[in-house]
Amino acid sequence: MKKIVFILITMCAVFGAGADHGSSPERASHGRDTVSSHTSGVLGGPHDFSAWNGNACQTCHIPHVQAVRPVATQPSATTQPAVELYRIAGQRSVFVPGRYTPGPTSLVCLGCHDGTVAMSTIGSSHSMLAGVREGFASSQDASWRDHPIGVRYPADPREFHNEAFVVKQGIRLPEGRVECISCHDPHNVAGVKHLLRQSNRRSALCLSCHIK
Amino acid sequence: MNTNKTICVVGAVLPAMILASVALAQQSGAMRQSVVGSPHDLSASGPGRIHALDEEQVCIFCHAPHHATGQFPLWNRFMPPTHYRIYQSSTTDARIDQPYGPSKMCLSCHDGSLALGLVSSRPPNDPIAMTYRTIPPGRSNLTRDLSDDHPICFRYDRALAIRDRQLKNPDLVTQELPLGKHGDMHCTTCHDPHNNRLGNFLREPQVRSTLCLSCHQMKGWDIGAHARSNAAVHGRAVDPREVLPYHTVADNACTNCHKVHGAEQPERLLRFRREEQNCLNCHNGSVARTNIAGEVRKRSGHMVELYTGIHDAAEDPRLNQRHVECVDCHNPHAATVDRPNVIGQPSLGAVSGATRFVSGVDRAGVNVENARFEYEICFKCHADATTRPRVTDIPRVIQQTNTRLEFQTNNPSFHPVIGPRNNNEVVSLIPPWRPSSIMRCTDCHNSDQADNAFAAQGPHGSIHTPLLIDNYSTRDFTTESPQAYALCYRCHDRNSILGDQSFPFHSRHIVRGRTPCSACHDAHGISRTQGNSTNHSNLINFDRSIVQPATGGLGSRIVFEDRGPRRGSCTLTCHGVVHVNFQYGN
Amino acid sequence: MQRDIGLWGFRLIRMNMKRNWHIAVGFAGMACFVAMGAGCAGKGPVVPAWRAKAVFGEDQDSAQIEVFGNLAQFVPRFNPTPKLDQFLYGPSAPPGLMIRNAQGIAMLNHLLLVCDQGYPAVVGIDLSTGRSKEWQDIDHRPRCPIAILVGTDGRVYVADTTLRAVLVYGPTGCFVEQLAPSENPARSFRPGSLAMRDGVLYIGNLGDHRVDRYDLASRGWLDPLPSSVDGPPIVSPTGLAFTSEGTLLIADAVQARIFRMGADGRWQTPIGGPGRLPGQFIRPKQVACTPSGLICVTDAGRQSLFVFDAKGAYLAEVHEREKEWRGLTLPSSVLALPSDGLNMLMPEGRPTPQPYSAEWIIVSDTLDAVSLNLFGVRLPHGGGATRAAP
Repeated sequence: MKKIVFILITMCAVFGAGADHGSSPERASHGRDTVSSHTSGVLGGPHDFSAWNGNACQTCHIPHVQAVRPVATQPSATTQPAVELYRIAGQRSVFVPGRYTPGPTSLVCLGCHDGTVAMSTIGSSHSMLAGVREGFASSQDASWRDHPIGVRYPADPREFHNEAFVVKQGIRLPEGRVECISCHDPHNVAGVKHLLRQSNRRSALCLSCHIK
Repeated sequence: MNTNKTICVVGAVLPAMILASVALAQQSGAMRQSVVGSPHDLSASGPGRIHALDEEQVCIFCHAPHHATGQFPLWNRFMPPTHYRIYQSSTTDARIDQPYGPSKMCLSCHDGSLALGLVSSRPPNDPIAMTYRTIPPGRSNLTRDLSDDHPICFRYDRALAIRDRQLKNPDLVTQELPLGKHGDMHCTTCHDPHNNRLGNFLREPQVRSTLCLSCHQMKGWDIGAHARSNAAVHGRAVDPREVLPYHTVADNACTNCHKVHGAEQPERLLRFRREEQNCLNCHNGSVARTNIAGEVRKRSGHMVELYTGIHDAAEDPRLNQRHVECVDCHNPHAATVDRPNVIGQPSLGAVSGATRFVSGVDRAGVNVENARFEYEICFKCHADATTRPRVTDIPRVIQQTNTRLEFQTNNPSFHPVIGPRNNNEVVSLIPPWRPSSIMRCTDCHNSDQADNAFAAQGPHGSIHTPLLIDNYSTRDFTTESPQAYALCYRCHDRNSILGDQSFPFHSRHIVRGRTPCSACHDAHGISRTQGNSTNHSNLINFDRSIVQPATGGLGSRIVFEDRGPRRGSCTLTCHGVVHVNFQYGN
Repeated sequence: MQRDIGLWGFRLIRMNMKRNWHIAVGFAGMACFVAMGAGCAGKGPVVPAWRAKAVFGEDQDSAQIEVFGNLAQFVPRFNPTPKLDQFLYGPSAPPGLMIRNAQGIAMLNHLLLVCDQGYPAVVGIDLSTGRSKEWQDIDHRPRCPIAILVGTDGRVYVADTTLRAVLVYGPTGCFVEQLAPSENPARSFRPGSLAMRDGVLYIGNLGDHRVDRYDLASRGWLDPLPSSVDGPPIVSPTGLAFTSEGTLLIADAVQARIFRMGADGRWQTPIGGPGRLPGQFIRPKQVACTPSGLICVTDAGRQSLFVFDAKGAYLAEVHEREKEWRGLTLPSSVLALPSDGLNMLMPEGRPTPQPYSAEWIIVSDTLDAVSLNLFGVRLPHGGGATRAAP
């Protein structure tokens, strides 16, 4: 048990304090976009649940069962297995196309951001969505209130930048799909308003993918 | 020396490289220009006078990643609950609806009704603060009256292209111009709101109306004068100060006469409400070489400026209200300068290049879509039309105002407009005219300046009544002179006439009796329905104001009898002389 | 319908040519199902397979949960009614009434009321006829309906987190009023769950992290819970329910616990806690109590339905089971019905489910194509509830 607490504290330190150094100063420099106090990182940000849980990470990162079992070789807290131990509470490790749902990382977000615990963004994850995007129905029929997620990054060179280029811009495309974490960084590394990966000044974030 | 050579080589290569790189840059830049920095960049850093006070995002004015309205594509604005006045035209084959879909999205700003900063992603009581609350009046504010704008929200399908043959088959329209979900036309068909590379956010260049001609295939446009003229558009009569996008007529193309948005004359989107102004704007001797505006203001002419709002392109020429407009005789889309009428030369009577692809009424009185012969254009108004000019200058024995009946080839006599004459008795003709020649209405009815190669030709106007190319006196006791009957003498040799080669008493009548040609001859012809070949050959149809009846034989009458070539007899009273069965010829 | 199937088939062929064959196969299965249904509709009444796909619960002597799957399959005559193929995400279904993102569910007589957050509206599905329509007054649409409750007074309460109010509708769907504490200047009131007992409406207030109470008789707000200092800190009360003994169950999605307050006002040991062990939660969203006392909890994080007995002991976790059942994606709301609660689905002549389900559980799924899942509760002989023949 002590071990777990240690790991948690380390993780918080990584996401909270360490993130400050990781953020690029020019991205966070625009006063309008940053959160009120020039914070970046989980602690102090909108995803800081430490006041409620006493633990900023555990709201989303729930230890695996193995974590509480006595394991012969205890992994070091800073090595990869420890991070794997606290892998996000995703239910599936990969996108399941037959389910027509967003990917596993987005499901974690939507667990709260469905209008209950937090503001609703459920419109983006309509269950028809993946099917729609794969060519079953017209996307104009469905009611989209939010940006689609769980969709394959489009390979349309007229409208969208090359996927490799986009990834290089800092947009994450897990399994080649657009998910919540493509634009948002739940750990608030950049310290930009709305937990964006980078400032959306002059719609720079939108135009990372869209050629408009 | 070596250095010099190097410099030479560098000097030769460097400009080439620069040119190549510039060309490359243009090519890559030509693909797209970002919405950022375009007039649609309404963010606080946007370039236009309409922009936000502190909002820094560009997309957010139309699209939102979250809490959009639910309309594709992540639409962030509300739909104006407006009923629009939509485009109407008597000649459109499209069924035009109230705006919907993407067009309505554009109108949510561009109709000037909704606040620019009112977006779905923000609370309604906290819209984005803008320099202007709504779009200010001007070119980009289309208002709720869309009748003066190019129609949108109609289905552009093959059926429409079949109904309106001046529209391309939509399958052949370039992919650069996307139609809506149901093949319907929207604002976004012509405009790409994100890409202002070509200006006005157009998808295709405006030069030579490439954009318009992507869908519209106007009959005869490609070789038409308006598509090819390199005349500079300066010195226009009506709107000399308005800046047209390009320097020449050919480059401006449709824009010379049409306005896609905010047309003064909504129907057919014409630049000016008065029909003729669209033509005379340039055809006043400034842009176009000839001054038609001066012609139509002459004493006798087709006075197009007298009529406004009567002409309708869909009208039936035989039933319409009386009027004349330039487009009654000309098709500005097709008119060329390639095949002008040569005045005073025999021809087949075909239409000139200036009157290509104009509707007409053929010799049988049937409406035809494209007149083949010039007279068919004239017959639109001067034949069976109910409102044709019915008052004749000269009261004749046989009255006829329907020129179609006057020129029929089975008439007892006629000037050979519809077809050649049926006998060879005309001895006075000046070559190249021959008795079997065909002539045109414009051989007589033309501008008095028609012989001047640099002046306007055609029956626009003349100082000689009724719109004649030369003087033609019809008054009694006219002293004979080459000018008095100059019209007739253009083809009929004065020496032959006065030498009495055809009618032995021509000289006596014309010179000594000072009788005009019109006293005995009816220039157009005598309809078969009214006259016969005995009494009305040789265009004989007496002027009742000069010729009186004579009493004798069968009673009081005016009669001419044809008794064979150059033989005949008259019974009439003229200038106090009584002919009773007066015979001439052998 | 037949033409639609033809189109559907065409689309499938087109799909198969693409690389995404697995999706094509998935949709092909669905299309075959629709085609089968249509075929049956032409010949006679639809005979749904009242056979459990899977049974959860290890102990034969305690309650077991049997999975019936998509509720839409069991609604009679759903194929002849054009509107219910929307319910099934039919290929040609116009947008309008197909259920997009089901949240709260409630039963009003024979009507199943579903809070559709995607529309957003409250969709009423008549389980006896299969017809569905927008139930509430269209002039008073909710913006983000999360929870719905049919009160003992006959009114219907809808919690809306965007409007930050509880919308009150009459039994026919006409709008009555909007409940929100007026003395809340920060407008932090965010109702996320509803329960009612003894004329008091309990509202899980996600914005203020407490449970508000509203007295329907005096039309006034009472002290919120937890009122005493010894009460547990509630973070996000996303689920509220009362047991038959009057214990208030509060599902807290962030703390991953089910808090319990007895009828006497004393706080009892919470159920569960964050973790991945049996009986532990990640994101418990809603809680419901069956007539026999079972406590059902939907967990969006674990994508499963948990069942506890009346004392809070873990009984079963109903989740995806390979080859048997596809499972839940983002379960949101849970509704427990007595054994005769779905009698309208089983008119005369219709085969009854075998073995009998003594109670019914309906779970709404926010993200899955199957919006409404039907479960049966198999109670042991001599159990708390009598096994009723439907």
